[in-house]
Amino acid sequence: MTRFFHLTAYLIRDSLLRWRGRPLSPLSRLLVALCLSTATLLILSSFALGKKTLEERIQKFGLNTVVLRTQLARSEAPIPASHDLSRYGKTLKLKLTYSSAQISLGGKAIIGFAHDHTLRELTNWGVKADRLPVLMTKRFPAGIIVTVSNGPWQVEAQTAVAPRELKSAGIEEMLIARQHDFPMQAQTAGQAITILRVDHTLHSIDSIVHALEEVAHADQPQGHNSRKVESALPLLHELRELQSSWARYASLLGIVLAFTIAVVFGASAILEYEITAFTTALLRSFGASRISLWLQRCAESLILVNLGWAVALLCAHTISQSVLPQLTAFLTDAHTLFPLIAALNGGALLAGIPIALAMRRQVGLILQ
Amino acid sequence: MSAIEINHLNFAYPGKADREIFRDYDQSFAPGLHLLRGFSGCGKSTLLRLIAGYLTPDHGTIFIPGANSPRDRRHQVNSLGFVFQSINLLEALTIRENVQIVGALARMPNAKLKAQSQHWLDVMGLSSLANEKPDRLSGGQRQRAAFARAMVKSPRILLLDEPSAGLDDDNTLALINAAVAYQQADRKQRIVIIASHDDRLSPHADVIHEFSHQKMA
Repeated sequence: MTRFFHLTAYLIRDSLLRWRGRPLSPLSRLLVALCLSTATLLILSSFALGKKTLEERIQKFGLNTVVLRTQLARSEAPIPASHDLSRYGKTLKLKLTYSSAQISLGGKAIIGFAHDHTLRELTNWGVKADRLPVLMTKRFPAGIIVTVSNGPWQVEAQTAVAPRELKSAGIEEMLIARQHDFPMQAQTAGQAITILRVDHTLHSIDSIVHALEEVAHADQPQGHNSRKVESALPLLHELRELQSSWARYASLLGIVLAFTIAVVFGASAILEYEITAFTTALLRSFGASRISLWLQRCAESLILVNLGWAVALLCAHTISQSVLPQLTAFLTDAHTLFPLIAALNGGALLAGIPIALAMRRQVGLILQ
Repeated sequence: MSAIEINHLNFAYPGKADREIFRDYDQSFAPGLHLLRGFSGCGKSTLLRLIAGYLTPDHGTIFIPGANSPRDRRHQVNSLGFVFQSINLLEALTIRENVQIVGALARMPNAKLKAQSQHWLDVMGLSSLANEKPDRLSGGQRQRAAFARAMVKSPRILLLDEPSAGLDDDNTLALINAAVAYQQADRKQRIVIIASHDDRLSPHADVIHEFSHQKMA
């Protein structure tokens, strides 16, 4: 124990004395670790930001939401039978026109048509309305009656908050009326739209989307783009690709990081070792093991590299908190950052190899 | 066998195979104080390093009493004291710590280590400077500190490489007297080998080995 205490105490003092005597040596290594860590964090932050944006878009659309659209020559045409998706989950079927109506309190809303039984579907989706027409809006309080008009036709509509899934279909403000409320618009082109909230405990959203896409494709052999399936799947694919690129870049950066640290720290450490080889040989002649002396040099590299990393992470954290709060999760995710820390420390340990080789030199060739 | 026996020793420094320092060299060092004398570069220091196990012979054997070989780690740490030609004190430590670290590495019990280090600091006249760093000491004081450090673990074999180089008569006398007293303790079973061309040391030696180039290689 005395041996360990004396040697450790000496090695710590020796390191501090050397660093105080030649401060540029540790400072340059610290700076290299800091710059490399900052650059790595910067590159990986762009992936983290991209991932965050995609996740927000997926969340906004709804992971288990599918929207099926079919172009209709006339809005009064019946909704195609292929829109019956009720076996997959909860559905909401509407017909959209390309016309909008004027709200008496200000603003416009797209005109959509529904049957009286649609009111039940709407109630199932959490819409609080007891009669048609209903004005889905976020600009006015729910439950009030407003006048909505288009040309000579006007209706008294009850306001309601639109379910999130309606926003997935790109509809923010919409008047759901009956066809006879706006007979002129019923004559014009429109689209049948079915919003499906998949019961994911029973069905895989992938298989549903693929099945719908196949049907849509079969229905339009001439290339007419009359039917369209929308879901979060493309965003999920994009997210997967981004995560895969992220993993590739993180691995590559880890290798570059480890290699650069190994080369720079190794070169610097061996220069410093050569200067102090005499003292090291003297300690070896006293009985200090090569391992303990090698560990001292490795510990120095590990301290510097981790200090550089900590400073870079602290700076990134401070900046993210004030400018890019979306990055906070990435910067505090130990699971994501661990491989980088491991690469830095691995590089620092590799930097010890030249010293380990130099220490194999016979003591008698150094001590004169 | 209590003597150091060297048989058929061949040695050249790495990369200098054409300049052999020793060729088929035989020598014996029985307990006592030995003085290796010879001109600079004749191989005195190299022989001490070979005996200490700090260099490996190209050929031949060196028998060390109580050890498997000169490179026996336990022997090197516990039974060997070496004072180098240049003064090799650790600058980060005080004189007392410089003396103690060698004993600590030899796993000496703490109480014994403290007592021994104080004893040798007293013998070398360094008690008042024990808490100073080496850079505050004169050349003679530093050499005496290096000697105290070599002595603290009571080695059976003590190797001194030019210990009196640059020292005045008083310091030289203090050093050689300590070496003689040390050798004569413990039933005179200790081996002290001094490599030096300093004539002031000759009267104190039991055996003088004259080194000549012809003799060694």
